[in-house]
Amino acid sequence: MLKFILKRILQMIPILFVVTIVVFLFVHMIPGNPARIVAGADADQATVEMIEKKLGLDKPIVEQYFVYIGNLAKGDLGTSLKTNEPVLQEMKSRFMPTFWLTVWSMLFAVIVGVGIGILSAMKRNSFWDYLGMFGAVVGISIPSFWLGLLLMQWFSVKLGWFPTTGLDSWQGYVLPSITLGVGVAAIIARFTRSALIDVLKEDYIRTGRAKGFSESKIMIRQALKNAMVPVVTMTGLQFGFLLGGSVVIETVFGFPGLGSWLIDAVATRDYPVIQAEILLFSLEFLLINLLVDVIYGFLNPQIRYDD
Amino acid sequence: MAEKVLDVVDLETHFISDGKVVKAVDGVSFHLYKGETLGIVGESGSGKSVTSLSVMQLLRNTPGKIVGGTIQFGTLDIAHASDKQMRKIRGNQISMIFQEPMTSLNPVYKIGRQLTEGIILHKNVSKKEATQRAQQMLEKVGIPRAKQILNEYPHQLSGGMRQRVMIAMAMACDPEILIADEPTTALDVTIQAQILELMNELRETSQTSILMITHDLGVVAEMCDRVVVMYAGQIVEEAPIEALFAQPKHPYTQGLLASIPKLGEEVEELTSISGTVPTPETMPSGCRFEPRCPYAMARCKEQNPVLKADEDGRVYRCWLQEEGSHE
Repeated sequence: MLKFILKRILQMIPILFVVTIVVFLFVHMIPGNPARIVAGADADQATVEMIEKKLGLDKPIVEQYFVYIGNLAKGDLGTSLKTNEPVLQEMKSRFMPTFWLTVWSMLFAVIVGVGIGILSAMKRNSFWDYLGMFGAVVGISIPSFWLGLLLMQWFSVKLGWFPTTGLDSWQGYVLPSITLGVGVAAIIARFTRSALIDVLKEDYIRTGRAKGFSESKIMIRQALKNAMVPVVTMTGLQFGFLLGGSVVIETVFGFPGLGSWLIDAVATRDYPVIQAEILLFSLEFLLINLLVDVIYGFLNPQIRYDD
Repeated sequence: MAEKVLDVVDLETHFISDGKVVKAVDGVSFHLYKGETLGIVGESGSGKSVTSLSVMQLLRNTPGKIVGGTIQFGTLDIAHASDKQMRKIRGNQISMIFQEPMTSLNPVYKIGRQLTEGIILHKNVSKKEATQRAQQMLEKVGIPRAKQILNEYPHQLSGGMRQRVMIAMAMACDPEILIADEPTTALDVTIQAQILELMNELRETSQTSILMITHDLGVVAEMCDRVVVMYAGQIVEEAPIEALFAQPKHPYTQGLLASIPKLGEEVEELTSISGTVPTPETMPSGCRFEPRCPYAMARCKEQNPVLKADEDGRVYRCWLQEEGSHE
C-alpha cells in the first residue's frame, strides 16, 4: 500500500510539469497588460514600459517560462504584481479558510446526503422517499448564490445568529458551509439511494435476512459498505471542486478564501497568483484522487494495490 | 421419528404483479419429522423455492405474499407470525442455505465476521466465544486452516469452500430445521458429492431436520427419507424414498424417473416429458399435468384430482387411482 502511494506521488511530478506549461501559456494569452494595470490608466507609455521591464514582461515568453519554472523548483511562487508580497505567503493565509469551509460543507453534505439516501432506500416508494427525493431535486436546482442570500436574510439579518459576511469567528463558517453543502448533499442523497437499492437486490442481503437481522441492521451492517464505492467517488470529486474555492459563495459572503483571491487576480492580471492557484488546484485534485483510490481499497477487499 | 417439527397445511402463496395474481404455491401441505430429510422435488416454476421462502417468511421485498394456510413450528404459526417473532427464528431455529454460494456471502466483510454476527445475535455470547464457535464450525465442515480462513474474504475462497462456509453459518446456532435450496446445483460434481456427504454427517450428529429443495433426483436418492413431488404449485405425489424410486405412482413422477439416463444402457435419444410447465395464462382447469400426461382421460380435462392415499397407502394426485392400476 505504501509503495503504491509513493509511486502515485512520484507520478504527479510530470503531470504537474505539464500543468505549468499549459497554465503559463493560457495566462499569458489573457488579453490585458498587467503593467498597464499596475501603472494605472493615466500612466504614459514610458512608465508602462519601465514597469514591464521591472517585472520581466519584456522578455520573450519562453525565457519568462524558464525563469518561472526555475523559481518554482526553488519553491518560489513569485511575488504578486498587485501587492508586491510573496504569493506563497498570501496563499497560506487564503488556503486555510477555504480548506475548512470545504471540510465543514462536505461534512454537512455527507451526513445529510447519506442519511436521506438511507431513509429513502429503506422506505422506498413511500411518502418519505418521495419527500427526500423531492428535497434532493430542489437542492440540486436551487442556485447557490440565491440560497446564500436567503440564509443570510433569515439567520443574519432577521435572527442575528451569524455574521452576514467576513470571517472573524467560527460563526462565519456556518452559513457558507450550509450553502455550499446543500447541493452536494442532494447529489450524495441520490447516489446513496440508487446504490443501496441496487445492493439490496444482492443474494448476500437475503443471507443477512435469513440470519435474522432486522431491516435497519441489514441496511447499516450489510448493505451500506457495499454501496459506498460510487458515493465515495462522487464525494471526492465534489471535495476537489470545493477545495478550489467557491468563487460565487466566497464573493456572496465576503469570504477571504482562494476563490475570491482568484477573482481579484484575474481582474488585475496578476500572473503569478493565477499560476500559483491553478497549480495548487491541480495538486489538490491529484491528491484527492489518490485518497479516493486508497478508500476504495478499504471499502472493497477485491481492490488491493499490492504493487 | 414421530415428533413433527414443522407442519405445513394448505399453504397458499401468491405473487401479485400488474394486477395479475400468480398462485405460485396453491394449497400445499407437508410435514417434517425431527431428524428427517424431506426432499421437495420439481422443475423450475413448480413452486418449491417459494414454498421454502414462505417457511422462512423471506418473501418480504418480493411481490409474494402468504395468503392462506398455516405453517406450524412448535407453538408458533409462521404464516401469521410478526417480523419480530420471525427474526428470533431465522438463522437460529430455522436456517437456510442457498443455491448461489458465489454471491451469497457479503464480499466486503471477512468470513469471521459473517460467521460470528449470527452467533452473537442469537446466542448472547461474547465476541471471543463467538469466534471460537465459528472456528469450531469451520473445522466441522471440513475447512482446512480454519483460523486463517476467519480472516479472509469470500473472494479468496472457491465455490465449494464458500458453500461449506454457508453451511457452517447455517449450522452455527444448532437449528432445528435446515432449509437447503438447491445447495449443490452451482457446484461441480465432485464437490457436490462432498457437500451432500457433509450435510448427511451434520444431520446425524445434530439431529437437525433438513428440507431439501432440489430438481436433482440424484441428490434426492443420496439424501432424503421422504419426497414430495411438486408440479405447477401443487403437490402431485408424496412417498418414502424407496417406494418412490421403485414404483412411482403419478405419471409426472414416472416421467421424471424415466428421463434419468441409466448407466450401461445404450439409448438413441434421452427420454423427456413432452410439453412444458403451464404458465398462469395456460393453467388447465382440470388436472394441471393433463396436457403432458400420456394417460390423460376426458375427466382429467374437467376436474383436478385431489391428493389422497390409495388402498396401498400411496399418496398421489391422479384420477387413475380410481380407475385402477395403470401399470
